[in-house]
Amino acid sequence: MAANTLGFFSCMSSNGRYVGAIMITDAEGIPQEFKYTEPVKPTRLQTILYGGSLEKYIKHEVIRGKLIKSVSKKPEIIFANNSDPTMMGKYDGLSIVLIHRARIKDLEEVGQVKQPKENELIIKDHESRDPLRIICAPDDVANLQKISEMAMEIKYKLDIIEPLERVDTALDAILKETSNK
Amino acid sequence: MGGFSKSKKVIQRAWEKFKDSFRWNTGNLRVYEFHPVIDSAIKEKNYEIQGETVDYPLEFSDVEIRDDNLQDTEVKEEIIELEPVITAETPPEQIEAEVKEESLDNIDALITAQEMGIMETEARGLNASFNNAASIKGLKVSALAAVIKQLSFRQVDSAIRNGEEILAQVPIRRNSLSIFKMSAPARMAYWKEIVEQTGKKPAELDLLGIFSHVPTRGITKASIDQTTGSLKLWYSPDQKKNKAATLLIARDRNSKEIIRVFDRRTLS
Repeated sequence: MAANTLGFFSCMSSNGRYVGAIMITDAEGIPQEFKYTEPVKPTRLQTILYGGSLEKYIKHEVIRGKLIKSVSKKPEIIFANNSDPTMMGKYDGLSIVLIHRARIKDLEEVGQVKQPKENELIIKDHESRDPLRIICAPDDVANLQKISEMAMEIKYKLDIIEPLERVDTALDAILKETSNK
Repeated sequence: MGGFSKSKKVIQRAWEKFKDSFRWNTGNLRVYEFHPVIDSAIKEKNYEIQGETVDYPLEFSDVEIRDDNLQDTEVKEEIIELEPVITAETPPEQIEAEVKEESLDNIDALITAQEMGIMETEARGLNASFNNAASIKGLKVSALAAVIKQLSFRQVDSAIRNGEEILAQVPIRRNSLSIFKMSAPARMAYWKEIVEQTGKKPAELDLLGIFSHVPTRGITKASIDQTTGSLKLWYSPDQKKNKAATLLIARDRNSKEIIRVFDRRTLS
């Protein structure tokens, strides 16, 4: 799996408003595309009618679904942060996996890998960073090894977590900018 | 029978006395004067009188109590037209209900005389009455009919925007590579080679950081945190295809000038 195109997805909410974004970068983290949803604030009627499925519907269908369809370059793997585990899985032929840095001390050598669960992998991808923890959906385990190889391939090009932080920063700015509208 | 008439007189006197006392004792209060007409049906029975006068209780027939004050009272029926009070809060935007006024002609179409169970002529008469009543009061008689235009429940949705301009405000962060992972001779050789490109001597420079895979074009702004060795690059969204190189950032010890050198080689 060549890491020519990387996808980073994030979704967050604040004061009942939901917003999400997807960024497509090259292997060096240079943005190629960046799409975001305008903040979604469900009406009272929608809140009542959607009930308990409202948040899931907004995050999955409105935000994730529309964003993935909106980008012209489709990376095989889209990385998402660990804030919402329900986001991982296959969607529209693409795999969404969760990544974050885990403070695990027993991985010291670069390239060391640990697999605590079938759908979870911990990799020491860089000497000066905490190990990278990758979690995929149970039906997406076949991709886990490929993702691990990709992370090792790009380890010196960029910190794979860094683009996700950029997306989150952009979303924060969008929420703040639109909070008075 | 003499006993009967005597008893009747006694009762009448007592009644008059009662009325008098009631009238005087009420002072300024409004006195309702009753004129009870006591109709007594006196039934004669063939009692045997045996030398004594016997008073029999009177059997009163229905007593009519007339109130003259009430007789002339005109009962006025006041018709108060009540308008519905709408206290609902602002309805959700998605629900649109149109309240439409329709004339009575349309009502005729909706409610036929047959449905009302009255004759057609009577129905016409009713309509005429309505119209007359309207003309008297100067009001336009109309019927309110609610027409549900549509229950346009809108699904939760959001527009997708291109946010490259927003992203251009967010810096790309790169952390310095650790050249100390290299062997000492390799590190010195690399450092010397890089410094030569600046035209300075190694002793004249403080190394601030070495950053790999930094785009060589399209950087609009850069900043470096000297304590953490973290580089921030603001990147123009127009530059999508770019070549990356290793960037060395150092500071001249004398002039404090920041010196940047791109090395095409990949350090890693």
